[in-house]
Amino acid sequence: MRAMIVKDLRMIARERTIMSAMAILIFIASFSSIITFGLLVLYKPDFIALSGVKVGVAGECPVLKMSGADVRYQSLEDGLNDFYRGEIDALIYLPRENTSSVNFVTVYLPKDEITGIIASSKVKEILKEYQKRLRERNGIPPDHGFRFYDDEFRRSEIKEGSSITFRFIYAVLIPLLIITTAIISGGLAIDLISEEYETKTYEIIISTPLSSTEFISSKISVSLLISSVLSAIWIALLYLNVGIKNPALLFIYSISLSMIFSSLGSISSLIFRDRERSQLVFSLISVSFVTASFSSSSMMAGVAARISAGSYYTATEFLAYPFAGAVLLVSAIVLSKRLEIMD
Amino acid sequence: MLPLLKAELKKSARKMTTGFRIFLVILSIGAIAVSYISFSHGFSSDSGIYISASDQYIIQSRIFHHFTVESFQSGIELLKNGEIDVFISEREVFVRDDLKSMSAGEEMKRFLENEFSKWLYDNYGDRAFPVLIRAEYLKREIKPEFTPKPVSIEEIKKIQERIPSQEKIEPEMREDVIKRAIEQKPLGEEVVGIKREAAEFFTPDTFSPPSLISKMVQAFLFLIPSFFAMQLFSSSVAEDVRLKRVEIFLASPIGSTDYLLQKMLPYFILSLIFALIPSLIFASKGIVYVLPAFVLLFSAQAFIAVNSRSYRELTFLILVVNLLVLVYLVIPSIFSGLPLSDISPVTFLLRDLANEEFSPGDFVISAIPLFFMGLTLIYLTSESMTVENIQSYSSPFKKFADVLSFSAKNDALAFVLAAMTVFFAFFLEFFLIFFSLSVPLLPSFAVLMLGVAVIEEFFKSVLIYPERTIRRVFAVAGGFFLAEKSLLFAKVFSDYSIVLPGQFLLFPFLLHFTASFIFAVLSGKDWRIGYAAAVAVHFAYNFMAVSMT
Repeated sequence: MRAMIVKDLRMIARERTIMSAMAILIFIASFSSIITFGLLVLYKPDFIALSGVKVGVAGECPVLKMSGADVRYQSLEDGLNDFYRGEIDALIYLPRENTSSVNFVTVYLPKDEITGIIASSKVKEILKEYQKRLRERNGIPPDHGFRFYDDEFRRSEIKEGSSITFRFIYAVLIPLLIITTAIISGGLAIDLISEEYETKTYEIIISTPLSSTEFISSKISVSLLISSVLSAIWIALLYLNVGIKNPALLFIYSISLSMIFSSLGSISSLIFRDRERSQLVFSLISVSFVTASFSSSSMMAGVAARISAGSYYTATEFLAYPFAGAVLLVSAIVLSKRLEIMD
Repeated sequence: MLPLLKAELKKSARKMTTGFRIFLVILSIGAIAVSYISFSHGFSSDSGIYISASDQYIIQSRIFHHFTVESFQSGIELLKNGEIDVFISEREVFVRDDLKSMSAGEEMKRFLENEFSKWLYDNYGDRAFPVLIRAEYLKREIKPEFTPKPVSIEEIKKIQERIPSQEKIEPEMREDVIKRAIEQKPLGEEVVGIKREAAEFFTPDTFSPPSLISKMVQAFLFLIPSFFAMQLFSSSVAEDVRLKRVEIFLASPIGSTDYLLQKMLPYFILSLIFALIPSLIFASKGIVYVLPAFVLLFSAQAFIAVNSRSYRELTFLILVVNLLVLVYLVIPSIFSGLPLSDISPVTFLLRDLANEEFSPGDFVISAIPLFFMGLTLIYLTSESMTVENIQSYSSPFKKFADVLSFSAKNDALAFVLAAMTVFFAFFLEFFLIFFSLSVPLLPSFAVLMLGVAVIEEFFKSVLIYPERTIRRVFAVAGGFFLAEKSLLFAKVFSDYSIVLPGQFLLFPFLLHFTASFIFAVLSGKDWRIGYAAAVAVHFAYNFMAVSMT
């Protein structure tokens, strides 16, 4: 069995397959960081820059005009002329102000220009100030009144945009890395087994003292070894760069998921005995698993997020996955024995 | 008429027994049901990611795992020890100076604002929301003019007609409009939801730029099912290669291109059917927008299936390529406010789903690189289908370089192939740009410039290497230059070239010619020397051009 494992590992090293696997994980990480960047640009445009954009206000709206506009216009026409000439980057229009009721404000922003996204942030600030002034005039509390302090009781400014970064790293990126590692492990198990079936080398292997259970165990071991290396690398990198919590538990968790997927892959290969059908069935199962993972806090992604963020999780939530992995692993080995008898 | 197609269908029928088909149908229904339930349920993996505590309040938010503490002092102690991320007492919120605690503070601020909005509505009604915003995005072209023309009266009238007012909104609808406007969602939640209706009005607190992100899940519905058909196709080709069936086909009158096309056809049709289903459901022309992506993905999978040394390598390379293409297709749509987003046909699919107007010409421009890359890969795959190549144990990357080099049989072909490789270079340079977003500005520019030089000189060198003559240098540099300049006619690519200095006319040709000539001269002894020199020249030019602009 050891010789079988060494043979497969040698082949993987020779083909530099592990490099492709690393490339996949890097893409996942970049993909997530780019999405985070995109979301920050969209929801917190002041993340890029806010200076240099000019916002105009048009209409009969004295309170709005006093709320921080750069340029004031009497008519919409004047404002639009300046907007199209590029004199201003956004125009707020309110035909007639009503300080005691709802005001329907129209905001004109440039289409397909980064200035539009940045200007929208300034527009938001002006209109927030406007809303505050109108509320005060009508005797309505302008804000909730809560103030933020640090643990040394000094006033603290809450920087916007940090939560989206944090949630993407812990609740999206880390679960995606775990799932990708597990899928790689499952796919590898299928390829290792089905290649032996399709090239008929399985029959030669089985004619040696190696049993079918040892054959399956060696293939699952190889896929788990590869996923262990991958998990160790990305967990170490995240630990050093981001300072994730509980790296050892996260490693066990990642390997448990890989055990589930490589066992499922092995079962699929044992039943169908060709790569085409095994991979198809495995892909369908994986798609269901991936989509379900993010839908509840107790599912894989939620538990991984809380383990790595150092948040609260129960022992049952953590242990469910190693247990499921062990059950599936035993099932794959038992199935291989049964199929050997049937053959 | 199509013997291989018939054989492929027969083989599939033999493998896909009735029992397996029933199993597959059940599994597919299960996958669709699980996906539907998950998407309807929404994104919840961040539930309980922050820990909050209070000596007075009970916080009911899925983001927080909340508990109450006995005293103010114990709450502060827990915060200092890192056991909780945020502590609330009276009208004071306490956080630590680290990323997690500050993030928890930001979410707490949003939670308090949301609760405050609800409280205001319950106590003061719509009086508490005196500002409702509607955004309109207007296309403008700013040109330097001494006497700029004013906006026409007709245009002003049209804009004015769209302006809402109290009178235009029915009183019974107003309550609904305000309720929808004050509803805040956690940041980025729209990434995974399907049922998201864009509110027409926003309060100043909920106002944000428009985004196609909420439609992204729908884009995946057009793309992901087709990956199963592609997987079947690549498996079938790989099986032919591994079991040496392909060598028998090559010895028969069926040519390699015929083999590939007949083999691909049933799976390609299956992919189109998969894309047609969501097109019908969403009443969209989605199938048209994903077609270029299918051409590229199928041809890339064909190349990998033919040139991989084992199933392991096949699986990993296909995963890498699928991820690369998916990122290229999906990522630009995140930046939907910028012209760069038009680089991908999927942006137009999302725009179609969001009922946004756009020019069909822009879609065609975004599709061209994918089509040309697909066609080139089909050609290269077909050329790589020789017994020697299939039996060779070279890596697929080396096989790609070898077959590209070998395919440039004469200068005319080298010219055409050089033009085609420009699309591959742009594709790879797209990733360079996005990778550079997460690196500090100065090193990112240097890496970007070097990356561009490495990629472009690789393609040119591969085409020049088999025949290092001045004619070949001209053909390759000319082909590359012409395709590059043609691409820059399209606005989306000319915006792209602000980052990659390609906006000049004569200098780029001189650069391509000089770098190619240097490679041809110096690669006689060792190709590495020639390649390194060509890259150095290209990098120096890029760096100077960027520094000057």
